[in-house]
Amino acid sequence: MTTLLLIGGLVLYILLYFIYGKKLEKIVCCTEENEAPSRTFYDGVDYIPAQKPVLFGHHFASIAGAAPIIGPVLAMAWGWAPAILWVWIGNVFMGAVHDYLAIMASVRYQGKSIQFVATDIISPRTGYTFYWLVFFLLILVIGAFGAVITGMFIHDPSVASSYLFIILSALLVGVMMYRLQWNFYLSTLIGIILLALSLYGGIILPITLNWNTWIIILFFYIIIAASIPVNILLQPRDYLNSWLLYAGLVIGGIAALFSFHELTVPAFTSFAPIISHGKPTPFWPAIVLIIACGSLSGFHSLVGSGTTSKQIDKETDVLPIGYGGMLAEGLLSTIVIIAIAGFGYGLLKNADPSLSINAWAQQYTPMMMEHYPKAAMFTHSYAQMVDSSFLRFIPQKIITVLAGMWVASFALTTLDTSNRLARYTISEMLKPMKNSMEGLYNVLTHKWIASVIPAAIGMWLAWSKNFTVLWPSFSTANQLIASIALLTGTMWLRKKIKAERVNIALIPALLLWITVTGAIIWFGIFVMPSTIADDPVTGIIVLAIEIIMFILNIVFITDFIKNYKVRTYED
Amino acid sequence: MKIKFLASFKNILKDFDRHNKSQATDLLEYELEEMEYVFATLVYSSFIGIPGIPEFVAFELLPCMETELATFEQKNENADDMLADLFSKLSFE
Amino acid sequence: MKTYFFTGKGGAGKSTIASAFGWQLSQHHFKTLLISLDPAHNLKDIFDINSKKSQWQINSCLSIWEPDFEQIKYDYFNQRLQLLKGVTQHLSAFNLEKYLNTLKYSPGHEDYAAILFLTRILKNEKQNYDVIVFDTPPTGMMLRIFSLPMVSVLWIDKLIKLREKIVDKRQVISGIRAENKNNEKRRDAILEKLNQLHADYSGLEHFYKNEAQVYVVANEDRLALNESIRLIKELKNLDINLAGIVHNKYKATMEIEMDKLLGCQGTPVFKVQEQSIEEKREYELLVNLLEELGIHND
Repeated sequence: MTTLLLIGGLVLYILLYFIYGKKLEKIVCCTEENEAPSRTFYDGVDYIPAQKPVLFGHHFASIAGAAPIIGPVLAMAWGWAPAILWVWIGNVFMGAVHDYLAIMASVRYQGKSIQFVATDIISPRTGYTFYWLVFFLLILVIGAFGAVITGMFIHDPSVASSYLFIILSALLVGVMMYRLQWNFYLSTLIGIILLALSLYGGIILPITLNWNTWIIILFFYIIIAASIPVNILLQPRDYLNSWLLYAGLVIGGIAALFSFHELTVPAFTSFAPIISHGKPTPFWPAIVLIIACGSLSGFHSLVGSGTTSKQIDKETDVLPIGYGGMLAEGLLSTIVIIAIAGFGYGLLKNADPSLSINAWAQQYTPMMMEHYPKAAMFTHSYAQMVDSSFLRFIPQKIITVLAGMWVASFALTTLDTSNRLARYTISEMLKPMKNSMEGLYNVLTHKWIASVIPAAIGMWLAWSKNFTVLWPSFSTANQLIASIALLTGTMWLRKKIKAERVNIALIPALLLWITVTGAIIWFGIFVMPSTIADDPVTGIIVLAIEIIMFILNIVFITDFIKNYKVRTYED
Repeated sequence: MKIKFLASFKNILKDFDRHNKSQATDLLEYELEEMEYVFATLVYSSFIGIPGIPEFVAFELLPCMETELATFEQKNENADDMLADLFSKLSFE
Repeated sequence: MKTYFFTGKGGAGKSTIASAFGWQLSQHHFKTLLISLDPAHNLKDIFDINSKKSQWQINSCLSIWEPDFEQIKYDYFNQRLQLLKGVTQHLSAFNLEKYLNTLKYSPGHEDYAAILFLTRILKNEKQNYDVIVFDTPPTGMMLRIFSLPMVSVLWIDKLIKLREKIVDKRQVISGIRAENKNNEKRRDAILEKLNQLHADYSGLEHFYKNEAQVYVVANEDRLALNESIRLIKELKNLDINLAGIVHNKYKATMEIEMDKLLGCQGTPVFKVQEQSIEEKREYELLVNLLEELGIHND
């Protein structure tokens, strides 16, 4: 039951952290003796040693978001056991290793990013590939999250209006904290009160709009939010988000621990239940495309080798922050799985009595998408889980909206940040054409064009209501990045540490590459045709992206293999 | 034993406090970095071939800008390696 | 204390007029300083002085000064270099030291050296003299000397705006984080410096616009006229008041209205006839410039 599952997860993670994590440390010859880049290159701005708990908080907040919540919702079609096994085993042996190696390689490379390491140690082409994959990742995440948010706003209009109130609260907190410069704790307290009021306001004043209207609103929101000074909206909104995260995690953790509810969702249903575009989706290779963050996620390598590696105090901190941080995210996904496993069946059965446990593999996804689409499945299960614990004195409606606010706020952050990142990525991606096709380059990288194109394509995809196609595509881009990162980590172990001890990275790297490649092929053959038939524009866009990513995939494994065999002068 | 527990609880609170304060100022820090970079570029412009402020104003300012110039140089070192930094500094998730 | 600038095309007779003016002032017991801002100094030639010294006392009321701009420039860059040595110790990429070394020895930058000198004079010598008369360099360089403060102020304003934003933001951040309080104070050094520069350049700009008496020495020949027209237009653009035109080498044969010709109708014109130099030294011109320029013993 729910409690046991959580305790099991905790115990497993803690045990393997010490057993496997320490093994990792030994392999990379991690030692306090080496001076970290934060000291060698200290500049008081980027390179500045940070204390372990603070850096952990920062790193974790950067990798935790809405994705570890959405993935498990879809994965529930296989039953809770395969999902949770992937979150546990995949995380420990692949995901956390990936995060750890990315940070560690970066630390040993003067804090340069994993992209730089890949350029140096595999090939410049590989480093350049990051830009393309990130670009597709950003467009697809706008599409996927756009659909999640819109779906949630329609299913629970209270969440929509409460989010509007959050924006107002953020504007107010921004003025208090940054313009008027009131006492920090006072402003924080007022901010928290405003969050509570937003919650209440959402409940009493729900906003009901249709799908198209929300998509258009989100489109303009993305463009505007990324253009105004950060102290007005984005910074205070980010700060309030962290309090939502605390609330969500604490309440969720307590509820999961003390709910003692039986798991009504079947443990295992079928190897290939219906998930993506109504097609049977095989656990292998598709699981990596369904649960990404929470188990293994490529963009973590960028976050880790960005500021985290530059702020590490000493090498021994990388394990708790990098490896431990990923395990913590796994715990978050564990709680999500527990919530749905415990209460999802009841929710769906009430909505549609024709639901039968034996037909779960066929019925779950369509019923979920109809009655509790995507995030709503989580928020309502979560609320029921809280209700089943001693926290049941809190009205369920409040918890539902709270959870909705949590997911919506993080998902919306991803949307506007993606747009800002896309602008940069486009200009870097198109650099090779700068000299040969200068006119076109200038047009494409113009501030407004580079701003509008990703948002437009992304929101178009979201509009298409093809979430079960978009989510795996987004994960494909994410896992391809993870693939490069893990391969880079492997190459780094081979070339810079010792050739024999490479398997801890090589095996997961190759397994991942094979799995993702298999997933792309499966997706292309089984999901794409019906998608194109159903909605040609969306289908073609996604197919084009998938094809380009597939080609890049082949290119970088070729570069990897070619380079792997080359003996360095150290051998 | 009790004192140790109290001390570690205090430390946890201190860390939580510091974490919150950084969550409340991360993006501002990032914007500040960008502004400092623009400022340093403006001051340096005449030395690196960009039409900009008169050289003589730059000569007068440079002695006051020791730290800023070190940061400027460090940023230029990493100018080709911004993707990961951006993912960390702007909250993608 | 009054200041006079005699500007105009090279060869129009600025140095002669300035010298004559200065001479006459000294004869009327005005304590006068006559300065050459023209790197191709003419004053000593006019006063027939054969000396390497840059400063020379002509009589009890008249001193002339021909500053060594090369030395001023050299000293300035050297001083900056010393200050920057501390800064550039750990800076590798920009080779500032080499650059400044090059500047020390390279030609050019005389306009800035002239401004440095001018600023110094205005600061230090005001109390020592009743009148300071400036012989100026050719039009191009003089216009740069006139415009540099204004241009610099425009840039400094921009930098100040940006710097103030930076300081504000930094202060908001450290107010919340309650760390790095020293940093905050140190940052202001740049803003202070910017404000000081702003004051200096604005002061110079104010001096040009409100205190300096600027005269254009013009001739009748076509080339000189064209250049004078351009000079007067530029002065107008810079908002520098034209105190008058000295119509030098005036030929009484034709009635020429110099102010109309030069496009500044209404500006007082002072005619100075062509004079034979064998009889008098240049600075002992027959015309009573003082009366012409309306200066009385006061």
